[in-house]
Amino acid sequence: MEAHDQPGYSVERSIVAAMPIRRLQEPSFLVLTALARGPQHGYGVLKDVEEISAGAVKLRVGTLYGALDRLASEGLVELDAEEVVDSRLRRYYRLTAAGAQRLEAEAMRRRSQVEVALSRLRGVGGPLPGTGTAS
Amino acid sequence: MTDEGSGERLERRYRRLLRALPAPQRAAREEEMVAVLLQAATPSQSRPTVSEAADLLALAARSRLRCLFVDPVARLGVAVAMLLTIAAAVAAHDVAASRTGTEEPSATAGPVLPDRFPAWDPPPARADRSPAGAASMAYLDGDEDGAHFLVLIGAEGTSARQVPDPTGSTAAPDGVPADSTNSPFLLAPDGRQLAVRRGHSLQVLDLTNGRTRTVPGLELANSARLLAWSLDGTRIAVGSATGTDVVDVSNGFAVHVTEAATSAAFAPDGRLALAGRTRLDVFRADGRRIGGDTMLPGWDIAAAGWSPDGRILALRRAQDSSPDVVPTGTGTTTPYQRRPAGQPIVHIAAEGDVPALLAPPDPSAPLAWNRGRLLLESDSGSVTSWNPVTGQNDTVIRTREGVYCCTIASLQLATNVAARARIVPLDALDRGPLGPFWPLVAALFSVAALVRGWWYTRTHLVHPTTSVRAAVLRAVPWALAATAAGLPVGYFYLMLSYPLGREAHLLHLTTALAAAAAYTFGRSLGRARTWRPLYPAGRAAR
Repeated sequence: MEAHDQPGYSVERSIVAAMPIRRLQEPSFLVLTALARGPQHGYGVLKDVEEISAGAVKLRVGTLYGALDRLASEGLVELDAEEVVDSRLRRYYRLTAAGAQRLEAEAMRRRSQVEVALSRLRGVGGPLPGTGTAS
Repeated sequence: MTDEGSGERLERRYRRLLRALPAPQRAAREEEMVAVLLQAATPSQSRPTVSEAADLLALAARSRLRCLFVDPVARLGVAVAMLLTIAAAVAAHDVAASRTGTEEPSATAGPVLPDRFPAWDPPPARADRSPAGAASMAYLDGDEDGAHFLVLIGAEGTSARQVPDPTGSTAAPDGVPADSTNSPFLLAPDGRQLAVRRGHSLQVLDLTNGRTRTVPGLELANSARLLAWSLDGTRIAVGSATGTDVVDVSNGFAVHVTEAATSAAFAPDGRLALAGRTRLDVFRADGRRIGGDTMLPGWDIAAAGWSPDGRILALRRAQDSSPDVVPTGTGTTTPYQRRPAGQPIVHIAAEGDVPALLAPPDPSAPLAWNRGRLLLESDSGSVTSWNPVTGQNDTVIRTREGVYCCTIASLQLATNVAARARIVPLDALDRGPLGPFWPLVAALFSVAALVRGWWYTRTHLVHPTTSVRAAVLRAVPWALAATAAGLPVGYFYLMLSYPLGREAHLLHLTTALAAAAAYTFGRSLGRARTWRPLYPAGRAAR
């Protein structure tokens, strides 16, 4: 039935329903951010994540596909297209509406935390010694 | 060209790593992941880096662990595998701890006797399968599981072996006192052989190599009794209603004398003393009678037999106890009188070849000579060392305490071994190798459960929505429930392990767990068909 709605995945609805919404983990957050620009294939996501985090986060392939599996099964990401390049399989993934919503919620949550932190630092009276950029 | 060669090699190595993924996941992901891995690899790379390999294996482990901790069948299997592994470890430890002998024989090696009788938890190995050499003691005993066997304590005091069920029914029948004159077995004076009566044949078990021989051509009568071994371990005196046979155990040749005897003893020089109801006769090794005397009424020749110098013969009260009388003089026409309590009997024979007779004061049975003293088996089951000259009598082998299941019967000492033996404190005994391999069985079951679990997670995937941490947390109630179920079992086990053998109950526990494991495997096979795979197979590009 629904098992074949999305190529490559079958979703155990009962388990999904039973699971509470959890915070996005760092790799998931970065993958969703990468896909927010448009459909990308696995290697593109890797490069994009490196770029987004300014080289701080280098996703490994296993981590990437662990995150993609999880996101796909939660319905946040779906298969966009498949193509064969140089006889290699390439799958493109895109953000679903739910994925965009979730990414936004997570981004807002993070932003509010960041703002609280920054405003408190300002309240203390300027930058802490050695932290460089304030104001 | 070399680049392409190394690229192919790299691809092959990546694919080998990806084999760790559960099969459905691999079928759906392998081609795609290989493409990304190769794209991300540096141009000169010919093998996966350590961190890449660790990352891919971690992905596989997460997928499999998720299955193990979430899937109810796999979860039960894991619990059973863990319990079995623990049971195997406990059983192996228990066995290793109890089976290990003491250190090598001490520097002052020599025959020893333990100062008390050991308990049999676990029981010793069989003497025919795991021979431990000459024995100093043999007696009938049992363990708390109701088994009866003949115990052999090694002459070095460090080993114990058993002969299971030497008569078919080793339990002494009620009302028939076990007694060395009608015992179904007879330990040789050097402790190296054990004669056992099996029906109408006589078997000799060599304790040094575990081999059993049937004495050829010998047909024991119903009334036959094993009376005594010769000191060199070549002949056995067998008494019956028709007389006495001195049987060569190697070929079954017998020298027959017509005197029927109820007890007998070989002297160090080969003389044989035969005691009947009223007569004591002494024969040479060839069967010629060389002397005799009136036997003290109500007395038998004791297992201790002749003193090492061949001049004194130790006596014991006959089982069908007659008046306790003592001779009042010497010679064959001695009158008797009731003996004063606590007095030994000493009777000097008139003829030179006939030994003096010596009986201990109490109703106790001399088992063996020991450095000029006599080791006596008392009515209470202990063994005392009696000095015939001073009358001093000390307990040297104490009765067993805290064991209520079995009584020691038909105690025999290897008389030549005992003659030189020192009494030493009973130490841990080498009980020989483990007979039933239950720890091994439990370990095999746990390995089987683990293999089954591995196979199960190869083909079953649990939805990746579940994080591994959440999966572990969801397994906790199961673990608690399993523990709660296991506690009564453990309690039951502890309750039973005191009066009965611990090994037996480990066995029961292991068997129950093995049954649970078998049930689990069966269930998991049944579940496999209903479990929906996460990734439909066969979506690879080529």
